Parts: sequence; C-alpha cells; structure tokens
Amino acid sequence: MNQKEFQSWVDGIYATEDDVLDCRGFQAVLPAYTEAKLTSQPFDPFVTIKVEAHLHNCPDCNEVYNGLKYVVQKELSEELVTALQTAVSTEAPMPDMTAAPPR
Amino acid sequence: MVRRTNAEWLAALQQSGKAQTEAYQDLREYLRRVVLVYLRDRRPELSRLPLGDLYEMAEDFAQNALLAVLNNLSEFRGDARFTTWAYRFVINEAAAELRRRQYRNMSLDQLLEEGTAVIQSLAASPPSSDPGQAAARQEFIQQLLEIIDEALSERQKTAVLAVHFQSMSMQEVAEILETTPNTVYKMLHDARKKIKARLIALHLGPGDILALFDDVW
Repeated sequence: MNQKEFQSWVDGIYATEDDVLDCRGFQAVLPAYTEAKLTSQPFDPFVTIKVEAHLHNCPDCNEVYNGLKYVVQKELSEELVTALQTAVSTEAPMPDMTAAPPR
Repeated sequence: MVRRTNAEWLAALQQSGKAQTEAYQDLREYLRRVVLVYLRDRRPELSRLPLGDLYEMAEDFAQNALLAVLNNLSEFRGDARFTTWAYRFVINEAAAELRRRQYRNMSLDQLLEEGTAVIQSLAASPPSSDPGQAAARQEFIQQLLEIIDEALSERQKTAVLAVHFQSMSMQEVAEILETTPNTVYKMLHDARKKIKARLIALHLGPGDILALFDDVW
C-alpha cells in the first residue's frame, strides 16, 4: 500500500457518517446514477453523496460501476452516430459495439 | 434487431409467443455483446486468451444474465433505460466470476499477519528525513494498530486488513468469513465509525495524519 492509498483510506474513515448505502442499495440506484453521469443529467444530490462514499469504500461495486459506465457510454455514443447517419429510424439496427476501439 | 422502448421490452418479455422469443434472443445478444466489450476492453488480464475463449465466456455470462434479468423483471423501476438496467446483471456476472479466479486462498492467520505488516511498513514509506516526523509517524502507526486491535471485533479487523490493506475483494473476504459481500460492506462501515471515533477522541484530524506523511514537516 502506498501513501496515496493510505491517505484515501483515512479520508474514507473521516467521511463516514451513520447513514450508510450498502451494496444492495447501491446496485438499485446504479443504472439511473450511471446514466445521469453519462448524460450530465441532474441526480438527487443526497443520494449522489452516498453513492460516491460507497464507491470510495467498495472495490467490488467500483469495478461494476466502471464497467457499466464504459459499456453504456459506448452504446450512447454509437447511437448518436447512428442517429445522425440514419435520421432516427425506429428500426435502426443495434450498433456494433464489438468493433475494436480506435487506438 | 428492433430498438424497443422500456414499455415495449417489458411487454414483449412478459407475453408468450413469437414476440417473446424474439425479445429473449435480442436481449441475450445485447448482453453478449456488452460483456464481450467489457472483457476485451476492461479486463487486461484476459488479453492473452484466444478470442474463442473470450466468446465462450461472453456467451456463458450472457445466458446466466438473461435468466437473472427475467427472474428480476419485477424489480425494474423504469428510472433508467431497460438495457442499462439489464447490462448491470451481465457486468455483475462477469465481475463475480473474474473475482473468483483471483482468490488468494490465504489462511486467516496469514491474512492478519500480513495485513498488520502492511500497516507497520507505512511508518517507513516513504522514509522521513526528519527524525521528529519519523518518530511521530511510528507513534501514530502504533496507535492505529492498537485501535484496530481493541475497538474492532476479530471479524471486523479481518475485513479491514483484507479489503483495504491487502486489496482483497469483498467477495473473497465474504467467503472467508462465511457471509455475504453486503454484510462485509456493513462490517467495514461499522469498523470505520469505530476507528473514526477513536481517532477523534485522540484529537487527531485528517490534516494531522496527512502532516505525518508529508515531505514538508
């Protein structure tokens, strides 16, 4: 563990409040929170604080959040491209996310 | 594949017949692609696997996730896109399996011993050029170890050392302690509250601790 990681753990200690958002609670708000983050939409500020505290203290949920955010962002950005190209057809095909990312 | 609104997804998945079959197939394909992208782009430890293996993993994860989505359909609150909500299942599925592959299978004694050693080594890294700071740091580390020993239960102590000082997943710690990851999180939270209370009682704030490790004393 390096100094930065230790400091981060210390910060987590002092930021601890009585009220806690556990993993189950976090998973329940995860989809909405992820989309709000990606689309810069407003999100309940009190829930946001608890979500960020949970992410700070939970490596497992952090991995899931980062993974979900990554794939949803890909989907949103490719839909944007598709929409521009096909002028929003309701039968536009599922974008091919398996194309390798640009290097 | 047709793009569906949330309402269209729920309707198609819950009725029987052709519309349902198509919805199942489309959903499984979406889940498969999503988890494939996740494995390829977010899990570098898999980069040496042949593509075929990756595809096989993706299919397994997608199949399991599809079942989980269908079993939990009533939980969907409509506060996000249905697809985003569904993708959560397949990402969870993949992350959990990959965590299992990273289990270190340590004994409890080993865990406690090595975790304690990590904390002790913090006193010397990076080494302080100021002997006053070095001494203060050593004293603080001893206090921290005492707090962890006295204020926390054995199980809480194990969880804190394993997750935060040995980068062990909560999933593995949960198996070691024969409980759920959710409970481990709550244990860590309770431990944090106790440690916080003790540090404050010692009149130590976050700035005080930062000062012990800063280059400028």
